[in-house]
Amino acid sequence: MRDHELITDFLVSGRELFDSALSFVPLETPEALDLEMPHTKLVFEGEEFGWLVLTEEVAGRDPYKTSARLRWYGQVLSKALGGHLLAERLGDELMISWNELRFMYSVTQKVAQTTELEAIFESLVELLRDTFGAEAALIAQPGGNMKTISIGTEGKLSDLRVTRMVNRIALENQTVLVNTPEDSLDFVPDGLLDSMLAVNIESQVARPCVIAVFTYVNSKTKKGKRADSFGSTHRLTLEAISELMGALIDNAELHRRETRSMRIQAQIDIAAAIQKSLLPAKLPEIEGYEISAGTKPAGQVGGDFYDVFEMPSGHIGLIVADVAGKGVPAAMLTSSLRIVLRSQMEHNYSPANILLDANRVLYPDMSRVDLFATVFLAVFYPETGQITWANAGHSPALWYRANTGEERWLMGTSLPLGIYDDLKTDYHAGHFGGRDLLCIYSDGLSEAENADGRFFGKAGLAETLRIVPNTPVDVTKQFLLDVVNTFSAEQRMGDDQTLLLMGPQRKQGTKKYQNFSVQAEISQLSELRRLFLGLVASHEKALTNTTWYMEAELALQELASNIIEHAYAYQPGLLTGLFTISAEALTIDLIDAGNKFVGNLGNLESLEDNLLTEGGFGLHIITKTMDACNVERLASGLNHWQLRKNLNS
Amino acid sequence: MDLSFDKVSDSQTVLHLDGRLDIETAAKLKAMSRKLIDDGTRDLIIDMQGVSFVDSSGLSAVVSALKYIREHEGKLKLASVGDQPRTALSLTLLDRILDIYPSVDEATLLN
Repeated sequence: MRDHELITDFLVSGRELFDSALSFVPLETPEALDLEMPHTKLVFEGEEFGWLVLTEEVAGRDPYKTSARLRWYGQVLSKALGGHLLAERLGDELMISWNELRFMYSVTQKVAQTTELEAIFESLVELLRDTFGAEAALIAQPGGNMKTISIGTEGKLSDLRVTRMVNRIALENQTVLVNTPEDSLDFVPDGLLDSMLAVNIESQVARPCVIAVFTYVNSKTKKGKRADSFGSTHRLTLEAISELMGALIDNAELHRRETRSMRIQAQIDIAAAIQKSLLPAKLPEIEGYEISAGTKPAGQVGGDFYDVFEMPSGHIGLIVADVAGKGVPAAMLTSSLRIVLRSQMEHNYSPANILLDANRVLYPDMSRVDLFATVFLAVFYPETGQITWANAGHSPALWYRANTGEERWLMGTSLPLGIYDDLKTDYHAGHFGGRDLLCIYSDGLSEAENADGRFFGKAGLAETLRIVPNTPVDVTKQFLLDVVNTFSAEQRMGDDQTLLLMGPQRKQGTKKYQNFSVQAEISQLSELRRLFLGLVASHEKALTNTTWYMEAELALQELASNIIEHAYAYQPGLLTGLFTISAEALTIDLIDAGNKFVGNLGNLESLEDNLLTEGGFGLHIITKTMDACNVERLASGLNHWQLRKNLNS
Repeated sequence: MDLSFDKVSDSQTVLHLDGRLDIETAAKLKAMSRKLIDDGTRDLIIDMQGVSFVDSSGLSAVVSALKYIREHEGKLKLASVGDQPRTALSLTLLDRILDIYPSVDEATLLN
């Protein structure tokens, strides 16, 4: 029931009661009250809201009775009307509170759904507009990178005007309340705005933002339940909301930052765990042969893997694969690839068919995520020495054939897996001799780059293996990895490096080995010495005679310090190599990536002529103490020194 | 390598070395011997008792000291030279031009 209906009802009923017309004078218009006439104040819960007045003078009426009756009637009206008015006013407040609550609830929900500030703001402007019964709303970051998010500005305010308005509001640095087109001129020219309410949101972590709600002049849009202009209640509400939003923005921003780094780390952790689980815990033992394999990821997660396992048929499966791409998708695919290859090899020992089937199974997944994989796959039958292989786009493996000295490159037989749904490949077969060496690797090794942008290359690989032709595959593997590392020492490792070697089983004879790779620094010479002495001290000859290893230690010291001083000229680099000791000889192979040696090793005998030069003893000492001293410049640009001391004499 | 010295007289000093005389430590010997010679030492005895290892850089430092004291008309002596240093000296033929004494006492007393 509307107020005036209630009052009309009362006034009509009162006419019967008082035998006179009555009127209601609201508190706002006291001038309408005729104090000469009987009247009573209308009060509800201590709050005045008007008067009830008799408008006709009736003769012979008891003024006292009339007055008392009027007071009573006024109280009844007060109860009815006052309660009703209050309820209405309360209703307005309740409505605002309800809107505010609903707004905040919506905000919370939006924030829970997304951590992207821009997405939060997009939902917020709509809520703002509706909650405030405005025509347009915006959230903007003055001078920040965030784009201005607005609703209801299209076709009304140009982007430039919006930007100027936002900057102007930010200048105020307090709540802006404008309720006439004239007042709005400060913010938007041409008197476009009818009213505007704007606040600045303070944020601890993000740049401050501006929230504004506004209505246009001559707008036909219904303004909802709000009064014609924004009032103090709206102002308080928006200020409260801006504080809440400041906190929300802070939370969202912190949450975004935190989850971002957590997500990245989680990805890396997951992928690394997958990767690690892929490598065989133990390589199969094969009579007469030895296998050694290792992989060194470039980052925390790589796309390489190797696998060596005994097939049900007794064949040995040897795989090196490289999945293009990094992170979780690549690691997942690596995992699938390994499982698919293994399961194919349960019942199939034709390398070509294994790769064809694996491609058929994996192609749909791989093409969907734009990943592909190169695979070198060999099947070796130890009983007969027969080996078959297929190469799906992988780096050519190197097969060193001992009886002919041939170095055979096992080139690609097909495209990588995941490129076409029907892969076409064939395979090759041969006889793997008892002293042969098979070296399967990933391109992280052959394409290792040095400071000059030069690749290590297949040639680098082959010549490195030639330096250590008869070492156990474990030693060879370490030597090769160290040499590649020496080659590219100053460069960031670009790609995973994976290496799988199969060679003859070396008898546990008198030959002993020690790999080394230390920084080319004077302070690292003690580490080099420690490794050297650790090896020679166990030699039987060390027990009876110390001169030979004292001399060899001196020679090693001279060689290493010469390389640091002259080849590297104190620039960073590595000293890498291998100590080998047998009953017959001690050999020191040392690789460095320094400048080319230009001295003359053969002409150091006539020292007496320039005895007091304070230098030049080093190489002289080496040639005097060792039985052989050679240096060669390798095709890769590395220097290879080899010192040898015979132990027979 | 640690260095210490005993002044026997204004012109005679015993320089004790302890540790490895090599590329890492040779500069210490060179600097110390120069300082002693500049301060008036003309009979410098290098006590090699505690030296386990000498390399070419260590030998260079000895040669440097020898040249410097000769310019000041003084003498350099080595005393108590162990196996490895003796090997290094003989490989480089430096044993032929350096005065080497079995002990510091003998080096100090004999001229």
